[in-house]
Amino acid sequence: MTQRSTNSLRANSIQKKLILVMAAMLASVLCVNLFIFNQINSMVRQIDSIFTSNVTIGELADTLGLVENRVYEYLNTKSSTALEDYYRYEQEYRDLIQQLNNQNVDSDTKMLEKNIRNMSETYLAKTEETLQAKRGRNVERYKACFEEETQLFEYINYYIYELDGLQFRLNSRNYQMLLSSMNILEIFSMVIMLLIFGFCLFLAIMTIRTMIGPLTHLSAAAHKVADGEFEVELPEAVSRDEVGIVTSAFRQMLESIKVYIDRVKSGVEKEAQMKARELSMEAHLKEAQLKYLQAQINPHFLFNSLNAGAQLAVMEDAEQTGIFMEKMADFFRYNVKKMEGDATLLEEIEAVDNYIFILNVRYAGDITYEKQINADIDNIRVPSMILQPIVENAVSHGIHDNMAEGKIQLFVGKEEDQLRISVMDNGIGMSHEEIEAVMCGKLHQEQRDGNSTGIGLDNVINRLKLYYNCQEPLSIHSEGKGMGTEVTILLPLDEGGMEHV
Amino acid sequence: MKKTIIPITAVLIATTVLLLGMWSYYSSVVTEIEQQGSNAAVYDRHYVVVSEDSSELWQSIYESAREAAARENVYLEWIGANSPANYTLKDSMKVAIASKVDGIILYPWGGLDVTEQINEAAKQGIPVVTVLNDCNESDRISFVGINSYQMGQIYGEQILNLLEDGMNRVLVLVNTSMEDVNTNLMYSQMNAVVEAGKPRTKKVEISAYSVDSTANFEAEEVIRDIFINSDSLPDILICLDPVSTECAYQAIVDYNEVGNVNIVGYYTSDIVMNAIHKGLIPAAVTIDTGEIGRYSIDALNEYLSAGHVSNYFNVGLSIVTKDETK
Repeated sequence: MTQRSTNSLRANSIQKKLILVMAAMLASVLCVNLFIFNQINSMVRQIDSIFTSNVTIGELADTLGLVENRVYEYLNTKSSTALEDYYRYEQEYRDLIQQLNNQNVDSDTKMLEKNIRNMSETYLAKTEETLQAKRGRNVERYKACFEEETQLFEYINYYIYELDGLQFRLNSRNYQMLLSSMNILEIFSMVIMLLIFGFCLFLAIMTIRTMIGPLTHLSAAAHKVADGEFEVELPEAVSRDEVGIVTSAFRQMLESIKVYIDRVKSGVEKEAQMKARELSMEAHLKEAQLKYLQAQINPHFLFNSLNAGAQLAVMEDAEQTGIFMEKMADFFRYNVKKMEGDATLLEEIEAVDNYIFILNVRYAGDITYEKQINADIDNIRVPSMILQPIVENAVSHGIHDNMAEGKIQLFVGKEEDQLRISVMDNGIGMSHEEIEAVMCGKLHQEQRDGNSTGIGLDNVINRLKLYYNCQEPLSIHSEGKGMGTEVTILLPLDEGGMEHV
Repeated sequence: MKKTIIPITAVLIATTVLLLGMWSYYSSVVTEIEQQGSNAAVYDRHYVVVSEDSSELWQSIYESAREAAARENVYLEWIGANSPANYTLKDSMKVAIASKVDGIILYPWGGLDVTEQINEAAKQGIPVVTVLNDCNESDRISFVGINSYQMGQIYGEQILNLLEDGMNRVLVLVNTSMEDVNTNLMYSQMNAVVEAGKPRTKKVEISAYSVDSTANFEAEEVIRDIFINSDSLPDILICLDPVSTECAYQAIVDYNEVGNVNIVGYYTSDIVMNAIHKGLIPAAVTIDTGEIGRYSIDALNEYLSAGHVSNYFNVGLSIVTKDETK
């Protein structure tokens, strides 16, 4: 993956782009320059070659002069060197005239060449004849021949001179033509160079703009982000070069920052909620504790005294009194001990048992108490002091006026993934308005009678709500006046049957 | 992307087109220079004109001969026409022979004997045709020219037309280069025609005056001399060559002798034609230069093809008067 991304980066990198663009510009400039250079070079060669024909004609005249000179010298001195030179120059001259035209062509220069060629052949034949006559010592003949060939030499010279002039005029015309065409080519070259300059400039501007444009956008976006504005529009990363990669990375970074900020925000909110819950819980507990302390000024002294009373009863063999004192002591110890945390459901039920026992002693066993536990409740933990206030409520409001027939039923059972705890009485019952008032917390229990531990039903409801973080942990059901009341707590159970803490 | 590609493509196309244009323009210039002369027509034969006379008459003969030659696939060259060298007829003949041309059209004049050169050419296998002036003792293959008898007849008739009552002095300007049998024949025939045709009331005195029109400026000086000496002014001036015709015409204008001296000219150059048209010169004898050129080329061609040719081609003569110029 890393290798592939590196490769793709390389394939589209700015470096490569720059190299390609520069190479394209340089190549175009080089090609055009080479072309123009080649044209100029070729033209210069052409100009150089224009007057070569005049040079050749000059050579022709020179060689002819040498031939004539050697003939004269030989005739004059009969020198073998002159003869040798003559043959050399004669051959050279023959070679030169071989290059001349020998056709009847409709061109003055060509026809002059033909005449020169033919005259030269006649001339060379005549020189040969002269030399032969000289060798044969035929004085009259070689003198006559020499005269003739000298005359021919002059004619040829005239013709060469004429050809030279004609050729020069022609070459000058060609030279003028080449010069004027060179001027035109110069204009062509200028236009082409200007075009290539424009092309390179345009290419450079486009390349720089393509590369710098996204960077400018990106830096503007970065400035906005630095100022705290996260909702910026980023340019689409069209190219896959470094700038494109930086842009998309910046976009990803921005999104990550947004997600992180959201997460931090919700974390803070949750924490604040938790804090509020904790504070509220604490406040309720404090309230319960305060109310309890208001009711029981010194429970420790009380249950120590009760323990002392129990021991005294045992020593006096008053067993019933001893049990009563012990239950009293247990009840108050539980109260004191468990007010600050949660407790097991079993402990709660035990507290209810103790409370009913105490009331029955007080009211001579008038309250019928039935307990039905249909679930394994060993490990279930609940907020402390929730069942006793409900039972206390049932006694105080439900069956208070008719203790003898009063009946309190406690039912614990499992229903699907919930644990149902019901406290039922057969007392005076409640109207809907009363139930509504209790559930909304509008009805506060202000009575301070001898049966109350001081904790109201609204406090229990609030603590249950906070503990289980649910809206209706407790429901009150009554068929109406005189029909009794059922208070039900539905506790959520986790998968292992353990209660949620 | 499109915005970038379109101008780039346009610039590249423009550059390529310009480069191609540059290349093709340069190639065309170079090709034009290199192919100079290479496309020129190639001819089967090469004839030369040898003439010292470069008058309008001869220019005209040369042009017509050149046209006839081109039609026959022959290249015709006038030796020495553009050369700085002042070739004599003999020189030109020698050059032509040394150049191994296929045929020579020669205008012998100025009294220079070119028989030797004609014979030398014939020896080298180069046929020679003489034009206007013959060299009948040489080995020339043919003569293209005018019939002197006919010429004398025409001049005589023109003199008769111009005769006035009383004495008529006729001066014939004889070119020294033409003082041969033909000139004598022409002169005598002219005399004969005038003698035979003149009315009794009119007297004619014909005399000849030698003019060397081959020598530079000679003709003009001689004719001026005649006009300066007004006592010897003729009534009718007969010119037998183009140069003396033009000189005589200029002289009658300069000396205010128009109407007093009637000129019968030779050859209708532009100046002479104009003079005839204005009535300053009554008439001029003219020859068909086209016919001369054509006959010369035909004679050479025929000789080279068949090995023989008629040794005389008669060129038609005609007279131009004011009526003909209208």
